[in-house]
Amino acid sequence: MVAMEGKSEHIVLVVDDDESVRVALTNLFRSINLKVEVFNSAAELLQSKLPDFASCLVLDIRLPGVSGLEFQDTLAKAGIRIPIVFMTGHGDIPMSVKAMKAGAVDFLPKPFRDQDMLDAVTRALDQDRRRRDGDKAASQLRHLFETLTRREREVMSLVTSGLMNKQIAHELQVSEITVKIHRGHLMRKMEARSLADLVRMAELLRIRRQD
Amino acid sequence: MPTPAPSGRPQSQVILNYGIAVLAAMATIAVEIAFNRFWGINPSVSLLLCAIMFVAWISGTGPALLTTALMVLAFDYLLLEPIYSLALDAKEVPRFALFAVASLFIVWLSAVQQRTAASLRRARDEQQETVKELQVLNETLRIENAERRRAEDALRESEAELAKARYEGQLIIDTVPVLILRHRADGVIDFVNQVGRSYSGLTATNWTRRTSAITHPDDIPQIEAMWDVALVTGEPFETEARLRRADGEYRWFATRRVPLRNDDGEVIAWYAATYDIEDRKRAEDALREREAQLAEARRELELTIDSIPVMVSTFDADGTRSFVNQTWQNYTGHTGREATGKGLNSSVYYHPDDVRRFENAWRVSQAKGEMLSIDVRTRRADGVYRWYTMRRAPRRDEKGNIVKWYSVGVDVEDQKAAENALRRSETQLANAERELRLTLDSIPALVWRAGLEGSPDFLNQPALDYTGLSLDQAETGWPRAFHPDDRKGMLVKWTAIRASGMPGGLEARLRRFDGEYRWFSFQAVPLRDESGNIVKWYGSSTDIEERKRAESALHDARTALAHASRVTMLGEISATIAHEVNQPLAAIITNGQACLRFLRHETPDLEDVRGALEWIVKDGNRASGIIQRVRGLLKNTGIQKTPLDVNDVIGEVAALLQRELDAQDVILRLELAPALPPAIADRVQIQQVIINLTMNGVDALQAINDRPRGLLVRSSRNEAGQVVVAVKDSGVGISLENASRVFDPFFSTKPGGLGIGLSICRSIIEDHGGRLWTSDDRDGPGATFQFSLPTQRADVH
Repeated sequence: MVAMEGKSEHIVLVVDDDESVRVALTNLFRSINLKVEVFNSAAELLQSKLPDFASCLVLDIRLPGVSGLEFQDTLAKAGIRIPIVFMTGHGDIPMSVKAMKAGAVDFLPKPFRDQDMLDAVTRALDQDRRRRDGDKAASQLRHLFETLTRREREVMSLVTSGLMNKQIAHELQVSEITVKIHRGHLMRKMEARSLADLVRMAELLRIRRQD
Repeated sequence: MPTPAPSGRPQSQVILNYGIAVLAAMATIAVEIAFNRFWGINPSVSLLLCAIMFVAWISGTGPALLTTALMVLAFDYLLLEPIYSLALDAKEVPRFALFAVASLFIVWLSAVQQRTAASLRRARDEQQETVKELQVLNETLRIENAERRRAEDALRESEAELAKARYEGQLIIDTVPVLILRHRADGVIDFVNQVGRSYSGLTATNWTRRTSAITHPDDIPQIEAMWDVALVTGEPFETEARLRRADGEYRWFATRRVPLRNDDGEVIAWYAATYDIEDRKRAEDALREREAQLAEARRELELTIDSIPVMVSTFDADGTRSFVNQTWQNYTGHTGREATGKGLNSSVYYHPDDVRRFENAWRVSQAKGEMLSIDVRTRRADGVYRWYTMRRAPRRDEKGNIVKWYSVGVDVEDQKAAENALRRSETQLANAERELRLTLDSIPALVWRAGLEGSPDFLNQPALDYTGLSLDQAETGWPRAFHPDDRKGMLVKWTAIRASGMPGGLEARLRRFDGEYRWFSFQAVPLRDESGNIVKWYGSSTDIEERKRAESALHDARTALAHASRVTMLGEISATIAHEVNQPLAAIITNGQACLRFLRHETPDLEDVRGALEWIVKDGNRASGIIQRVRGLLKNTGIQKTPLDVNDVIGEVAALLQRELDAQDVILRLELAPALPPAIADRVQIQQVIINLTMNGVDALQAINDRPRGLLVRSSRNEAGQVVVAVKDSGVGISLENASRVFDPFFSTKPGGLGIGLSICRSIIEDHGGRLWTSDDRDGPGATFQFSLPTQRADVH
């Protein structure tokens, strides 16, 4: 049994045009204390305000008016990165492959085992949480990065590419000491504890120069 | 009180009285002495007085005096001093005298009283005598009265009778419908009875002359003349004259006058009786007139007889001609004189070939006394023979003997010619009829003719042979030749055809002679006369048993095919159906699992559990419903027509196909008329048709990408009251050349399509008595398929 800790908020968004399915899923998720919100159609979902905490989408791949894959595409294009769990009553195998390739968390045929659904949803929620956390971390980093001077940024980029101070000094036409000073400053600003940290941050910030 | 009569007393009585007087005195003395001796009572004077009174009362004055004397003595003896002696003291003399006076006074009183009494008695007696006399008188008077009354009564009676008799006499005189007059010896009228007075209106004073005042002036002279004669001869005489009635009208009267003679034979009065002969006169006049009319009529009749264009003649009882009319004479050219009497022989008048026959018939007729009726050629004056119908009828007298023969001859030459022509054409007709009958009996159909009321009055031989009935049996029992199940419907339809007057037909099973029933198609046409009225119904009936069997087989094949088509169709939408079932199933499983998890909580919320369970039940039913519907579609039963709400069926199909439509991006619109009348149809089959038409629409929309894929299903009601369903798509439409072939079996525009869907749909709808057609879409692209379904229950055989 997956027990959700109450330490962070989470919600499952269910979109299905069949009321029985909506009700059944609601019951299922509530039975493990998951919060649920149901929608009749994709349009209804889009009209509502999406939560800004861990959430996932449980979606029937054949919704009236719009196909699930298209919707997946629409969301992606809109920059909405909520993880999707697809379900279907039709046994659409080729569709399932496409969906998975497009990044769905899982694709469950109806009727599904409750455990499978719950696992998928849990995974999706975890994924979303991690993403959000990751996004938060990333934005924090960016924040910090913003505080770097131009020189410091340059140095960071070069340092994390593996260049030695000497090489960096040469590159930037400054003294090695300057480089070291910059490095010390940026290490502090970035709150990096080690070079490895810095490299990681640079990776995250995508400022690492690739050779 | 024994009162002796004042005079004439019997001697014994006298003695008695004096005896009493003495006795009384003695007794009194005795008593006085006794009282004195035994009881010491002093003698009383009163007693002595009483004795005197007593004797006076009883015996009268004389004895009383005696007694008085005795008493005086007694008084003296007993009461006066010296007592017990008759001596009298001087001092006692007053007493003595007093006593004596008193006694005498008593006697005197008594005597007076007696005298009064006696005179009263006498008076009474006298009165009684008087009374008795009066009574006797009274009685006598009463008797006399009674007699007198009787006499009076008798007198009254006889007077009454007399009056009655007089009254009756008067009544007779005044009632007898005759005017009665009395004339004096000189003839002047001195009495007229009531009738006369009433009739004339005149009172007696106006009747003063000999001839009554009311006589018509023209008649007076005659009457006066007769009077003159009568007064001389004294003989009774009669007259007729007109007399005026009170209202002024004159009426004829006859008067008879008779004289009344006294004992010497002199005429002292004339009595006249006048009676109304007006009616007789009128009758006489009428008779005269009638006779004149009769003569006139006779003349008229003779004229008629001579004028009518018919030969008339009469014969005597022995057969000789006694009269011939003018027509006869003109035709034959012989005069009456020649013909009558023992005139020319009848053979002269007739055609030689007919003479023998005629004379035989005439002889027979005369012998039997029966009417002769014969056609014979009679010779005209110019020698030409023409056919005549001769009729001779006898007239009999009261005894029954024939007195005369009356003959009439009518020219029938033209008629005869016509008869011959008719006979010829009749022969032709009979031949034609024979040929016709031969034809009728040879053709391989049952031919019949019926009257307006529907019963057959002719059946051709094949009809009689097939049913095994005779025409008589058929006329009355023809409905029984039909199958019992078809009989009622057939009668209803036959009546409707006859009522409509239009040619019509029906199908029914007819019983063969061996009992087997076969289907026949009956066609009837009416025959009308010149006025356009139907006189007869003609019909022919054809054996369609084989066709019916084939139809039945075809129907079965169609049903099987429809079923197969349904199954195929179901296969096509099986994915949809599977999905439809899957949804509730998945929900059930999920709900069940949720319930299990709810229950594993430390304090399970039973409301959650309950909610989930309720949904499980609901979804279970939903899944079950879908299965049932599918099963219904899969069943291969025959048509079961029930009242159907078409909108319901459309809704079911829409629900069933929703996924399918969504998958194809087809937008379904429903325009369902509210309050549609129920259609009489089989639910499964109508579902099949709507599904088929809808899927056809979906298929037609497959290729459409540039405009919305729209599908419209509309239900409505047409003027005939039928339910109409239209399925309209905005798809590729039907080309003109395909439009006519669209319902043909095995015609399809779909690649790989069998092409049986629409033809099956059409046969389903037509089986229901409806129509399936495609119509032009002028507003927009695409095609419209419509079908109609009947709403009333019609009697189908």
